[in-house]
Amino acid sequence: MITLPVTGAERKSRKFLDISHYDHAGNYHLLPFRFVALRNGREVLVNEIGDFLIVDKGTARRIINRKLDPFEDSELYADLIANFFISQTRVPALLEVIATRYRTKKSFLDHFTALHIFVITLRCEHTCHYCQVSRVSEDKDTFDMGRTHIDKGIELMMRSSNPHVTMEFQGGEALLAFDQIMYAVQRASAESQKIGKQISFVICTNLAPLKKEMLDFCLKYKIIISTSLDGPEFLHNKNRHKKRNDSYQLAISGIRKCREILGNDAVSALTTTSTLSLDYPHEIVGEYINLGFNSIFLRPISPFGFAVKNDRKNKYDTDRFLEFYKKGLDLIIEHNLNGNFFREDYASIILKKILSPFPVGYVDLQSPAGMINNVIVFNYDGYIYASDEARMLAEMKDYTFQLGHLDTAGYEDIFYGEKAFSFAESSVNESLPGCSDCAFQTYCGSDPVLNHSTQGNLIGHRPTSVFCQKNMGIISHLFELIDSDERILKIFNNWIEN
Amino acid sequence: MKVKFDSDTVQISIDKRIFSNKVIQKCFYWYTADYTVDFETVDEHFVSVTMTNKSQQEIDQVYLAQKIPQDLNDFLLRDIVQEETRDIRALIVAKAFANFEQEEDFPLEQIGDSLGFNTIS
Ligand code: SF4
Repeated sequence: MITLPVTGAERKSRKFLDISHYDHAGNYHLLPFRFVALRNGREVLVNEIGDFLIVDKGTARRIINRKLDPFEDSELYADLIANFFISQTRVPALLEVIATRYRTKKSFLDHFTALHIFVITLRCEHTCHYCQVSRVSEDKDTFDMGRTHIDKGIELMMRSSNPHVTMEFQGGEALLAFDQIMYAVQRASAESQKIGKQISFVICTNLAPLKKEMLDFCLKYKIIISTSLDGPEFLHNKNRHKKRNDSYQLAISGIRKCREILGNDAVSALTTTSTLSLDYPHEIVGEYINLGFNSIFLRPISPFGFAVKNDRKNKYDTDRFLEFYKKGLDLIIEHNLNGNFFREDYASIILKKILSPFPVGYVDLQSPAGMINNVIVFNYDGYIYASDEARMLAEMKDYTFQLGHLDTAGYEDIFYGEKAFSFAESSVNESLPGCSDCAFQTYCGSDPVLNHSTQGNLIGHRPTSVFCQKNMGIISHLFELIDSDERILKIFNNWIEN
Repeated sequence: MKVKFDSDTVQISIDKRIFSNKVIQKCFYWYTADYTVDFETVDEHFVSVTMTNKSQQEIDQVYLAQKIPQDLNDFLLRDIVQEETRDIRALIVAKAFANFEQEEDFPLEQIGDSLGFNTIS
């Protein structure tokens, strides 16, 4: 893991050739980099491979206008050369190294689709106000995934060139179709063994229908449980509406049982931040800490599906989310400063991109976008979608991202078909308006599905994009934190190493 | 650069010899959340940018008088980096995605030669 310099001007320890080695002021070549001002009076420079320097405002102007003096600015000058912002030769001597680092940053593309989501049923016993897709119904035949479709989905998953695939069961409430899950897991395990493919299983569940036999099966097949916990009881139950108002109790006892039988690491929880949640960042973080989790994912509710129709409850503005996020993050950092390990997952994803040379397999923050390249969704009715959000759009009768049907489509039609190609152009933030000049481009991503659903076209409009506002707000905040206190940088490094 | 305000609009007169159309457009793109932005060529050297407020908030003249020139200058700097490093960037990307098992060097002439790569041995 490489820890990059934080404040170029303050670094004292770099071993470098004597300054007389360098040319005089301004006699250097620029390498590709972008910059942006932070709110703390500093600015951040980011090069093509995601290395950064936080410097005093005006430094980019001095560098670009060839005003840098190798004598007066010797430390900064050395940092800029060592971190590939400027070069003494027209083609930098370490061009191969830069190219290899660039390739590493994009290596999430090497193996193609990893995450295969099987929407095993649409049935659910909850009626959450923000839920985009589920149905309260006993009708298994209509709302559960049929075995022919499960077989076909597995067949396609086995054709992925990725040697390690993930089969994720979603709903509705996935455990209501546990017989189908058992069938799918057994079949996928057998098929993957035949061709030596590694497979991980995940069940996304609210844990309400959990039974001991289910956990025994999960233990046998090393299935990971991903559940939902929105915070303390009053908040969780308000968000996750259920007849007896016992969603929270069922989730908590389910988490306990999962930990007992599967082990602590086999169960994780996700928060969904509703409008109501925005007033309770400390309570939400506190709940996760008290329950013994070592991380929390403070994620906003997506503006898809039925969610956009429920204005009063769901439509909150990104500013409020950012305020909520920063308060939650402050508390988490304080908890870490007191000697505990507790991580915020969204920050960790971005920090890994900032502080390490490696990419992160997180589909919502990639360029090219994660849809199809990293994730594919097989819906309960056999239709295939480019991402989870794409199938939610389809519930609103928008089929833009429907790629075909399991009964009829072949592998090439889905993954390399005309539709997949038509999304490619808008999937690359390097060439999107606004993003192409953005200092945070390497840490951010593109989301054509979100652009389409919120702005009416795949390219989108960055100045009014919730995706942009959120990521720009969070990434610049992380840089300001890194620049504010060395202990916070240590905590951040610790998060990405664990 | 001249910036003129009235209640609902901001008018900026910009010298194209300093700021290219590309720089001007990239800069004012970011104002389109709160303003309708129109460009008009005044003469050979000047372009007039009219920003009409479409948000509920009043125009903050002091803030904009400082922010617009700052943004224009920043986009000018970004443009300089982009132009000067275009070929190196293409070379990095081409090398990154070239077949690494291949022993031979990546053929530079396929990248373009505005920096004179071919003369470097
Ligand atoms: S979406 Fe916004 S923050 Fe992300 S790269 Fe594009 S302009 Fe930058």
